[in-house]
Amino acid sequence: MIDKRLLKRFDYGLLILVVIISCIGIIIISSATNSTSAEAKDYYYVKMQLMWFAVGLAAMLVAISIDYRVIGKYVNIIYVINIIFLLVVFFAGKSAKGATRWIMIGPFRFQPSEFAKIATILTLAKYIEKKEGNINDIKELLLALLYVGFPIILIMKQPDLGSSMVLLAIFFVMMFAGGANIKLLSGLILSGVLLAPIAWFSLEGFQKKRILVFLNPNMDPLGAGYHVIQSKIAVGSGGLLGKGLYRGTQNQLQFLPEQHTDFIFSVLGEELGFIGGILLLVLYLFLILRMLNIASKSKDLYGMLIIVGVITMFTFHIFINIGMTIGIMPITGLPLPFMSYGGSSFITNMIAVGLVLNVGMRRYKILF
Amino acid sequence: MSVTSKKVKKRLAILLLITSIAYIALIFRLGWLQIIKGEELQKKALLQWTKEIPVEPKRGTIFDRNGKELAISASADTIIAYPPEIEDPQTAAEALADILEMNKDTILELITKKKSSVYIKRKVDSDQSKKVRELGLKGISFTQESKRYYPDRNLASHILGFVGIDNQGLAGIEYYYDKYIRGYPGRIVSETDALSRELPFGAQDFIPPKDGFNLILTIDKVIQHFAERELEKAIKKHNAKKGSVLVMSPKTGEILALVNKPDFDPNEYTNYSSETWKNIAISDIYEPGSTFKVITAAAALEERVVSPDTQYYDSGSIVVSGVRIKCWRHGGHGSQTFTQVVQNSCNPGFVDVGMKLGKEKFVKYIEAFGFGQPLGIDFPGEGKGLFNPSKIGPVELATISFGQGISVTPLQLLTAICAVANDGKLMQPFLVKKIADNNGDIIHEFNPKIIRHVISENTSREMREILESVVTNGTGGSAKIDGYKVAGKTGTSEKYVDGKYISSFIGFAPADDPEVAILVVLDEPQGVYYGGQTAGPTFKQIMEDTLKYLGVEPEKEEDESRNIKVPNVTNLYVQEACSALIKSGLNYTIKGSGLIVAEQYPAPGTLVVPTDQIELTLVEGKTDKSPVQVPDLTGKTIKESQEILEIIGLKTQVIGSGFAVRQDPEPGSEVELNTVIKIYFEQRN
Repeated sequence: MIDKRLLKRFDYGLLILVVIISCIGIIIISSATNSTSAEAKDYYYVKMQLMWFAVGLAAMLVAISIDYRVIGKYVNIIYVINIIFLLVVFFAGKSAKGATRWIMIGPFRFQPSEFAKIATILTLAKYIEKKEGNINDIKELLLALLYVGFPIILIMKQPDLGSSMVLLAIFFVMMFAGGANIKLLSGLILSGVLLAPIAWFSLEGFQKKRILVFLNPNMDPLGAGYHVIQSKIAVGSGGLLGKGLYRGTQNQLQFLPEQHTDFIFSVLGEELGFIGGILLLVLYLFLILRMLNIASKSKDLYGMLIIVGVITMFTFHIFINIGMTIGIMPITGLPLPFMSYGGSSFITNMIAVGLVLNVGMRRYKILF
Repeated sequence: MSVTSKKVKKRLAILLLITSIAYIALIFRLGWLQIIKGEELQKKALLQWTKEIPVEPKRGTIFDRNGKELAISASADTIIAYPPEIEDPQTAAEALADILEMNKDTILELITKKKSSVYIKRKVDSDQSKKVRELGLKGISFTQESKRYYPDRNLASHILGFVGIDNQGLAGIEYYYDKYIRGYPGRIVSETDALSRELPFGAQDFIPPKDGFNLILTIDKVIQHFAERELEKAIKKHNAKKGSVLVMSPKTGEILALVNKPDFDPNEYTNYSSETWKNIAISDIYEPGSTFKVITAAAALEERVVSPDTQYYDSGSIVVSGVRIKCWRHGGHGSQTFTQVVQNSCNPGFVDVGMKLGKEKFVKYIEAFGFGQPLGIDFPGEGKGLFNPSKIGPVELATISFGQGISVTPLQLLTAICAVANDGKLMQPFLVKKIADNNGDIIHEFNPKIIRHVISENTSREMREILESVVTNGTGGSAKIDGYKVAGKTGTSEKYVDGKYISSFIGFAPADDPEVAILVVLDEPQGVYYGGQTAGPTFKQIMEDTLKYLGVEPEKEEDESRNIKVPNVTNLYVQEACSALIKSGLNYTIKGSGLIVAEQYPAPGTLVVPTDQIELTLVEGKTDKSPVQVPDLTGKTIKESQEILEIIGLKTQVIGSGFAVRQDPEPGSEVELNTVIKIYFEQRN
């Protein structure tokens, strides 16, 4: 149970930020699904997202209550469970839109690649802590890469390029924050860049297309480029103040694709304008800054690295998702944290914030 | 902070920096897209969710110079099918194919298309649309579109041209003035979603179309009719391949009539070969032959190398650079004055004149008269002729002086002759007098324009006298008209195919004050081919009718016998019209078939000679002319009166019974279509 003294160091600000962003998300979802289908008529998506919000709060509570150092003792089990889930997806997953990313648990679709992000953060943090920041030779670094590389490859095979890139980013940033030799890290990144042409050939057809279309959306305006072009039109036509909630023509008239999930930011941009966009970005920035603040005060390297991993995950998601809607990033299908409709990612994010709060609460030794 | 070393803290600071930069980049990009590019992208968005349905404007009417309609636009039904609503496509296709005279399979394919609506047939006539309506088929609907009608069918077809299915001008005046008569389409703007479904409560905006302007031509429908009738006669009589007649006002350059035969019906131009669509009087070239001698003579007189009285001797041939050029008359014309050279159309005489002029001066005049270049008439596809001064040697100079070795368009030749007649002023020929809007307000008026002065007034007067003498004493005798001074010149040119000729006659009247100039060209007449004998009589007939029609006073005593006034017989039953004419001592010819007289030539009130022929044009049924003239129904029974009025599109109100004694409005008054005519009937004892 949670000690009352722990609550003194509980970061209420962080929780409030999460609640505010989630509420904005639910409002925008209600607009995005206003005309989508018959289900939308009785606020199906809004109700579902409210439910995920409640479940997420519960999951967060669990993530807060168990001392992260206790969790740290079970990282090997977490690692194995993660791999099992990903293998299940690999062999018995549910397909949609050309990718196999889900497994069914009762009536719900569960997306193991979301859980894999948390699992990777927790296990990698412990791995680095064990080395006590002494990852200074190439062998150590490659071993660490192998450690995270296994789940990454499984996710890439689904295929879910976006999530595997998130894991890679988490790996590098956590290594960097964990004190790994900077020359070795740069060398690794450089050789990755050099190997990129080889990676290109291992990409699926639609993945190549997405990257090509990102470089030139007008190449295929009604096909792959449609998403980007429509999204840019929607966001751009919002102007400074936006067209007003529920009044976005591009959203309401179905010109926007995936408007309640991946392209939720386009709806916000169209209906609430530049002002609304900045507001959301500032809220996200506060969220990240608060987490960084907690990271810098954390008691041990393990806790600090968990937070750095979470920060990396959020920042990467936010930057790639919003960047995609305004045409500076390729389309990857990464959801916008706390905004996009969807249970797996929402709950994962809540658990991630829960872990951060967990570390923050336990930054001093508790004296009885 | 015990565990986190300084190094790690520094690295966290770097992470903070990178994250902040990423956010700032996002904000800048967002600002660029929403603030800088916002307006442009808003327009793009607007384009996406609005759909525009064009609304066709009404195409302007084309009138003749007196306000008579030549081309009108009326609404016609277009038949549309909504394939999903059609219950039994097989039977529907069969029934429609029957009425619309279309292939059954074509229709079946149309009405089974996976589309929400398809055109079956556009702009059908009212008869067909009525029959389709009567079928009462589900999923078949009608919409009104404007259709172009040419009520006089072939009349002036080459001038008017025609329009395509979307009312776009494709040929002739319809094409040249398309931007004025077409109008601007209006549109209905409605909001749609991504699947282009109209939004149930979406805004609709109607921007009305702007109707096209009307055109008033220089053409006179009556003169056009004279020309068409006479040319047709001549072609039939001489079994010619084709022919053209151009009638022009020498003082203004206005084209009063322009005919080419064979012609076509612009209402159904697709049934004719595209060769017949060509306006050969404006676009095609031919060798003018002796008619060109007028130009040579005018140039020579102007340059004073000859005078009308200069003496010539024609031995029957002349040798130029070793080439012997013969006169058409075996043995030659002997001793003659220059005036007689023109009268006799003596080739050696003209060769001599041409040589006296010299190449440089002759070329100057040929070009000044407008040959070798288009005149810039307001009509598409004007020809420029074939005249290349750099290729003229002594032999060419000699042949051109009597009209061979140069090719001209009929328009160029007549325009040049008009300049000879009109004190040397070369007038710009034109076809459209005015552009007016629907209220009759003039938008633009085209005034006569002098291109240049070619010869002096004095030379012009001398030429008029010489050309008058050609008709009175020379080869142009067939063009003589009692009471009028006519000036003219015959022309016969041999085509480069053996035994094929082009006969022509060009001239103007009255010779001392020209009002009308006419060119008649007959291509490949069989049998007699001399211009004087073939084109001459045609010229004479058109000229005579035209002068009288225009009210040009005859110079000589008017024939005393011309004392019968033509009665008004339009809108009468044929039998009655005929008996009325016979009663007045006149004969008649009938054109077309039907019950009612639609038109008559000459017009009512014209003075004619006893037993002259009056041409009656009949119509089968209802006319759609508006306004219509109320016929005289006195003495008719109720049934007869109703039939007559029904046919000409008026309504009857019967008062009393028996025979008509009185009517309101009065006979002869002009009323709109569908006006109710009150007729008072009384029993006759």
